[in-house]
Amino acid sequence: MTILQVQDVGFRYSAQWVLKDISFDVGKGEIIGIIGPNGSGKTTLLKLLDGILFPQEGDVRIQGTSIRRIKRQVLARLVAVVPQETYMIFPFRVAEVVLMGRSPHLGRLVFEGKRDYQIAINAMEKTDIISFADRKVHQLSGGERQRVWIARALAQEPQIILLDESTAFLDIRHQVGFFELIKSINKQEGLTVIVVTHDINLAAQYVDRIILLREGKIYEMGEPEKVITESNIAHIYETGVLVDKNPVSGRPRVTLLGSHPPEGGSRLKSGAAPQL
Amino acid sequence: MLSFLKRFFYGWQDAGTALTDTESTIIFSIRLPRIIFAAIVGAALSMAGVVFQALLRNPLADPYILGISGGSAVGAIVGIMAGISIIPFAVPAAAFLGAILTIIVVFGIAETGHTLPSNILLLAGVVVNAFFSAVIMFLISISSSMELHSIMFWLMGDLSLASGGESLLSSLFLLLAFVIIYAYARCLNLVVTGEEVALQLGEDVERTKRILLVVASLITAAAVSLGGIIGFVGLMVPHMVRMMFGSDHRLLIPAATLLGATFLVFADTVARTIMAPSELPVGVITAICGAPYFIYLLRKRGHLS
Repeated sequence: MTILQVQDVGFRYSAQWVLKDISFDVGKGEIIGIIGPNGSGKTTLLKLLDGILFPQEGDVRIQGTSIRRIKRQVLARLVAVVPQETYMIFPFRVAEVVLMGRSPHLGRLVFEGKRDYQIAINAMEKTDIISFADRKVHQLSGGERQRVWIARALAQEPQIILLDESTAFLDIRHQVGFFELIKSINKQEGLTVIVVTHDINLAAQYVDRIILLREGKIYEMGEPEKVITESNIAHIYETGVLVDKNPVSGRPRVTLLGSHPPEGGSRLKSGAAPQL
Repeated sequence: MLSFLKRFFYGWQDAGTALTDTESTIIFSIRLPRIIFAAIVGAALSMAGVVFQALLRNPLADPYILGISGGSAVGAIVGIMAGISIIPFAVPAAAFLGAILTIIVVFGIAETGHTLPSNILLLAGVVVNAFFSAVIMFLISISSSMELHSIMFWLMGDLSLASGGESLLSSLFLLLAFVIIYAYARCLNLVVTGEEVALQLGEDVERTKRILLVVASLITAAAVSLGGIIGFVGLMVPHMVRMMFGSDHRLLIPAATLLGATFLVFADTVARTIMAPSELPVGVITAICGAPYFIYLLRKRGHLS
């Protein structure tokens, strides 16, 4: 079942199109990765998916309804965003921030109830932040703070979760933990996940399909094996890479070559064999 | 309201000695209206301070940051110099008019498409305030020495013009403003964490911003036109409450309102009595008491936030 449709979307801030002719469907329960070089339009695309920006051309539909027609509060029950680092001028406690995720479910003058607290506690347990629920958010490390945003997004109980470079500040344990968590919620509850990331390897490990953007257009889209090839990555990122198979998962694995050309390149290349 | 209080106090007084007419006049026609007046102005400035700091996402914001103080000062000074002080309510009315015109101008400058970007709003306020400072300076330099005294008192904040009628009207106004602002308390929490975040959590940020900026500007305009430019209350009280109770606006708004009212009643009592029989402008006291206490809080907690 399709939950999100992006139809011929074009967007520009000024004269120059930042995104053009973007079309793809996302099925319920899919995990989609969006990758591409800096300035390829990844973050803009994400903003079009959560109604921060609206496209000048085409349409974004969620559960069949144009995103322009969905009331903000309703949209916030459908789509949650885990932002990049955000700056808070006044300090809130971790639990207060996570409870803010319940906001789209509450009326203007309604306070959080027992159920809301339980949902927030569950979200904090899942993200491993319950032990510092009473600390002020600005006293946390970047990685800890990132998990607070994730917990808030989970507390929204959304259908779709959008992750904008959400693992950039996490150590490897929490990077893996994060994707495992997303994957398990995705499996149990059918949560649809769209993740923008620079970490191609991590994306290749966990996502069902990858959208590779280049200069505001979709360059390639499909299973990781199809998109993450030496020629695609080398061409788009203009940097030498080696792509082989992750020996454990069998997913494509990218190695940066930098100034070291591959020794006996032909042998390694044949070992890569990403086109399955 | 006053007659109710009068009955209340008389009932309470019955056991002891009754008040003489003079005492009764002093308490109920001079002191009590002034205390109520100070409480209302203090509450209004603190409430507006909370809203401006949250909406502009700036800890240095105060109720005067959008130039409302400058605009109303020009209005009041022009009023004083035109000699309308003898007409009751005329100077506050001129000040209120000046404030409203300023709000319209500043919002007009900052409006970009269908949005009111906070940073442009801030800059517009700073520029407009600077412009009005120049106008105020010019007006002061051409004013007579008699006018100068009332102008200076007005500029530093002065609650001596209190009357019962104004108190009643402005307390109703304030109550209405409180209800509207409190209805957006949770939304203000979200806005503080970022406008985009508030959008993502389902708040119509632009609409909220407009409504609250207008309400906060109006109560500031009312407070300033009644009490002059009383500094420091609207900046400091919200921070003090945040340091005591945290940043949740559902607690912050009522707490700041009460603390602001209490603080200004206290400051005005000091201003009135410390050099009796002459009075100091209350703004002098708010800054003299407020600044050291604020520094103490800052040192104790280490930082503003």
